[in-house]
Amino acid sequence: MEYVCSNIDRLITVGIRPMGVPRKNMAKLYEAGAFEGPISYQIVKALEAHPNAKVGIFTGAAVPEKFPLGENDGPLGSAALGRCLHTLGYDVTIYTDPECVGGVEVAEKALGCELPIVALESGPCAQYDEIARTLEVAVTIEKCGSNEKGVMHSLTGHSRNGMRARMDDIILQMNDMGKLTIGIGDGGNEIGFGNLYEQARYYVPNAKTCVCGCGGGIVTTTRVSICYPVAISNWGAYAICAALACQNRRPELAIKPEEEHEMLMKGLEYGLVDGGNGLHRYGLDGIDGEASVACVRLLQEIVNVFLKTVHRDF
Amino acid sequence: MIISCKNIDRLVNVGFRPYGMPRADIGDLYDLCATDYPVSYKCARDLLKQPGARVGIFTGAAVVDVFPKGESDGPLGAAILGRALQKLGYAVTLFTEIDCQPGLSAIAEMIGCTAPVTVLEKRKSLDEPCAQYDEIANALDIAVCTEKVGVNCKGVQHSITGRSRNGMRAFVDPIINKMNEMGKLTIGIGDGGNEIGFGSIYEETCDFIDNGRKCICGCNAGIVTVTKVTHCFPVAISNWGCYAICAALALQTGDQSLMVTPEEEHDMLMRTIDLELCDGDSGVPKYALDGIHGDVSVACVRFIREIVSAYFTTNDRKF
Repeated sequence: MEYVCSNIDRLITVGIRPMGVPRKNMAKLYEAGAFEGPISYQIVKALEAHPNAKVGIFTGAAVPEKFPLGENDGPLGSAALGRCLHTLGYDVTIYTDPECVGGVEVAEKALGCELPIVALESGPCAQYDEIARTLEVAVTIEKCGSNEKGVMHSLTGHSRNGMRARMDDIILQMNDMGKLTIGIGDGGNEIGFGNLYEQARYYVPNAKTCVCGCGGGIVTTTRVSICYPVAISNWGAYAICAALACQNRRPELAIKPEEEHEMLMKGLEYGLVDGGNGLHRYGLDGIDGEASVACVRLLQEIVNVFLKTVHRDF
Repeated sequence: MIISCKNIDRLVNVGFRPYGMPRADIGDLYDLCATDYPVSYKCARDLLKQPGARVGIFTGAAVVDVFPKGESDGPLGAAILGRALQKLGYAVTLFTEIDCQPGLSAIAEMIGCTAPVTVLEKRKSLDEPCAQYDEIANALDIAVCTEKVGVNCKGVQHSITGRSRNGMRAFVDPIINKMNEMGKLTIGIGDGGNEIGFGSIYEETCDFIDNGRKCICGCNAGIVTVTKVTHCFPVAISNWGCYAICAALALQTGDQSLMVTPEEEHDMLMRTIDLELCDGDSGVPKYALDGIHGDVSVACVRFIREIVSAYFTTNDRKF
């Protein structure tokens, strides 16, 4: 399993960002977090220790006037991971900002699943306390975290305060209760990178210098049990699905290329935006949609090959 | 550019070997060869230092009674790299054994690589002299081996499963060794540790590879070749190593037409069925490559192209 997970992780940390977007090698941050073995393997083992648990998946990254319904990185991965965990018997709820609920619904529909979706309130409140109390496991996917000055940032250093649920408090409370928290991100500004704070401040462009005026840089201080740095956040979610498919010897748990295509297309029709360039196009984080479909095909084959035994006698 | 090459190399080192096959993590061997720069970057950089050079690309891995016309891993990468180098003005010759010549020629022709295909003479043992080998070493400026078996410390060629290949294939090792002595550029692309080039990281490969220190042919010296090259490029599948170098050439020259397209990869793999170039894992001619479905290799090609395309795309993201 560790062999296959190391290859899954190698694949989804292949950096593919265009010029002009901060494009430091996310693989360096992955390696900093993988000193105890492949991170997808660590996550599988941690989830296995919580069978049938109440799992909350948190996502959503809307920007008023740019992508008011959110971007497609996050919701697609959330739906895919949610379906996978639900199939394995977990009690899954997806949490997102009110603006992003529709995007998650679209992704779920494309995958043929109907997981409950709850809209998050904007900041620390009774809802957050209740969520933290109720859940046993939290997974954040492309979910912005606050920096040392309490400011959420875009990758390019703009403030996101007031635009999104500042939900770090849920994760911090769950951490205090000893619950499992997993943070998947691709920029250093997402919940989880607090685990790799110093390394992220070193490797990520804009890590120390944001343009919002707070002076705290984009890297979040919010920690999780397991931080999973990846090239594109959706791919991190797909990677966990693939690792769970291998561990459970159930290839159907992995997302299929045609499903990725369908989610990207339906998301485009609905109004989800490519977060890499803010364009309404068949793309994901600045790359062509077909490249993400290709990544999913490669992941699927890693699973297929893992579950196969050959007897080569020549 | 270096970051892009690093990511391309990361991609072509994603391992896919099933249970039952030697499954060492080739990515660990790659890392040993990339302590300074990504290997694809170094290969492209050094190729571009010799414009118009005479380049020989060596491939071919036929196995009598199993895949007598060779396998699909090797010829496809050789033809695509040959085409790219021809486009850049190099004088390219493809070298392979008589068994593999029809398949290699057909693939080269279908993708528009017009490099001549020269048949390598075979010898029963490494010690047997061969004037052709000397001539080739003298004539070439640069050699690229892809999926080309090399000899171990006892002069025996091996399959990845530890069987001897002596007598089935040409000994390219003397050509490469002589070119190394002459200070010429040599590149070795391989995915198993038994291919020319892994001599550059011999001890580590012996430790990492399942059959690194043992084989079943009776020589008891393991499958790892002792033959060194200037740049050893360990990859998950040898064809992908060639595609990675083409991508690195595209990055460094700005000419994206140097790369293989997903459609070409699909068509080449389909053509291997008629040509009886076998999937190296199953030994059967089918739409597959080293044990993976053909569509997966097409996906890899798509992914490589996107990395290059992203490098040439600038997003002015102001939000």
